[in-house]
Amino acid sequence: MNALTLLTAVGAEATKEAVKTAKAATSLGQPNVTAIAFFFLFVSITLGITYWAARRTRSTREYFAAGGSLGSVQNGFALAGDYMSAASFLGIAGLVSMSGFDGLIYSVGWLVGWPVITFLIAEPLRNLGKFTFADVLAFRLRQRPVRIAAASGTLTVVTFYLIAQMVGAGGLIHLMFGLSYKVAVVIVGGVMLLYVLFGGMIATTWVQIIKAVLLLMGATLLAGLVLSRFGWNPLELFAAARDRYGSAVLAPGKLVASPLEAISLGIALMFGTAGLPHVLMRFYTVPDAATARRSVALATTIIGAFYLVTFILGFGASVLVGRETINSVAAGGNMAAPLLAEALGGTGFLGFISAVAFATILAVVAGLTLSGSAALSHDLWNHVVCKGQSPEHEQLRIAKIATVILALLAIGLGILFKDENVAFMVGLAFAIAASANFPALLLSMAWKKFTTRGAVASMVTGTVSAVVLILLSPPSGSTSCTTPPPSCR
Amino acid sequence: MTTSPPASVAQSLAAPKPITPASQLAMGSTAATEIADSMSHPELAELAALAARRGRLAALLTTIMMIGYFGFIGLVAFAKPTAGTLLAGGRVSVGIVAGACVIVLAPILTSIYVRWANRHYDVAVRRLRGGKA
Repeated sequence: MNALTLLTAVGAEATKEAVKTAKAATSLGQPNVTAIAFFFLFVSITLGITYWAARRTRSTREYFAAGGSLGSVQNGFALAGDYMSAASFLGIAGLVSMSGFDGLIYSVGWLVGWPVITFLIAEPLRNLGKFTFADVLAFRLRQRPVRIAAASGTLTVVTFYLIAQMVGAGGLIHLMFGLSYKVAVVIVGGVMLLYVLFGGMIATTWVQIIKAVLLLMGATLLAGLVLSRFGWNPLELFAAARDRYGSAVLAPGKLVASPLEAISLGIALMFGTAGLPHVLMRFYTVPDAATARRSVALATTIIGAFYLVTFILGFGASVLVGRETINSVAAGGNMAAPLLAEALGGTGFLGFISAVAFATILAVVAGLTLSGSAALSHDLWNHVVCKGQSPEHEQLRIAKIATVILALLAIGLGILFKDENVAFMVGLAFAIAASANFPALLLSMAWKKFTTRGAVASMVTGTVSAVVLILLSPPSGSTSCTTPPPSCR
Repeated sequence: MTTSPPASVAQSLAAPKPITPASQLAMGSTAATEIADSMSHPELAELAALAARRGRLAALLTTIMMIGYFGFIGLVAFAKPTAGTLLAGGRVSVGIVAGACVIVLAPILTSIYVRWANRHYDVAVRRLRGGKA
């Protein structure tokens, strides 16, 4: 999900292979009139929606769950918009352009969590919860311990994911628009704060819907332009890549060195998705279970189609732009898709794709911030501090204060962690989601003898072991970024 | 539909509760606990059977998804040469075809479940609930 996740091991290998040439002839990094125009258009429309949504956001149920009023198509697109980060788009396209097949492992892994959510946790989540997945745990376990543990897990995941998105946003926007890193981080944090603070879930949902539609349109159009050069046959595209880079491009490469690594990565990708708080929260924004199920089915279809399209974009970029050129702009290949857009559609299309990438990051951080705010206000403030007695208006006020704190935290940490490897933090976020949130959630539904003590122990063990093991391990991400390119920070 | 939080969420301020047939149903059905609580025995049994059927379908589909996904991961992990075997005149590899199949499989399985749950399961639950009144 994070674009930049993918800059890891494979990126490094590709970097070594690629010939460092002079900076390619691209307008990337210079202020692009189309990009700025599209971006301002997007921000003005979404802020207009926020103004409209603000008048419809008076209760906590409206603030956190859009009053449960969304339709299945709206919620399906919003789920997809929550999940498809700039990373899936730029990161997977880049990984595929640099190493071919390996990018597919991430695409597949990030999709298969969705059916698992639908089959195993959608119903109870829907029936027993109000705003957060901690509601489900608290249904038959002791409120305070499980809520504290679940909220800690949520906030840890949200924080690392937010940092990763902010750091990635700063790097990407710096590359695309030529803005300074700090300015980019402050803009993303500031605009996001306006959406979430005033428009709550209703505004966030519409930002995500618009972004999902733009992203799908942009990616599909780009893939169409690629395929039109290969007789509309993906096989011809693969053959062209094989002719240029050898048949290794169609085979598993260096992303996974050992079988154990492959399986471990596979488990983290699948169950990490099922433990992401901002995804789980979207089950509460629709009126009934049938709508919730339909929206997940739609989201799964959109995301699956999107990943297939991204695979085409990666191969298209490696053939039509070339690895040397892509790598000369940003190591790891993150700029593969924008460069491809420029090569096929000129500066105007590049501007559109850049603006879409910006919009994408905004939508994802908005969803993350809202889920963090729900954990702080609903779980910790109302149920732990006030024992469920906090009046409605007070909960809403706490939620808004929490939103401001999280936004400032995201901006501050985004600037502070400028040089931190993004892959490292996204890895952490997924590992914690998979080992802390998901097992407790699943067991509380599937295991009759599951106790409060067991739930807390499982969440604490999951969080601590994920953090400690990642800190102690030699992260492949950091070795691949010994000389961090802008987008690698 | 039961969009409001079940009474239990408010109740659960107190001590942990044992799992009752009613709470089990709520975990796997759209019927809220209070409905199940007020049901007669045959209806409760039917609802329990329905919930069990939902559980079996969910388990079956999850198993299929796991086999497909971990089959793909296993191919990459344990059989890299096989995954790299070229097909269709060298224009595509076994691994790419397998990966694309898993991507297509995910929305298909999800749609099968959603269709069953929305057309049969919810309807049956609603019928049982109507029978109660």
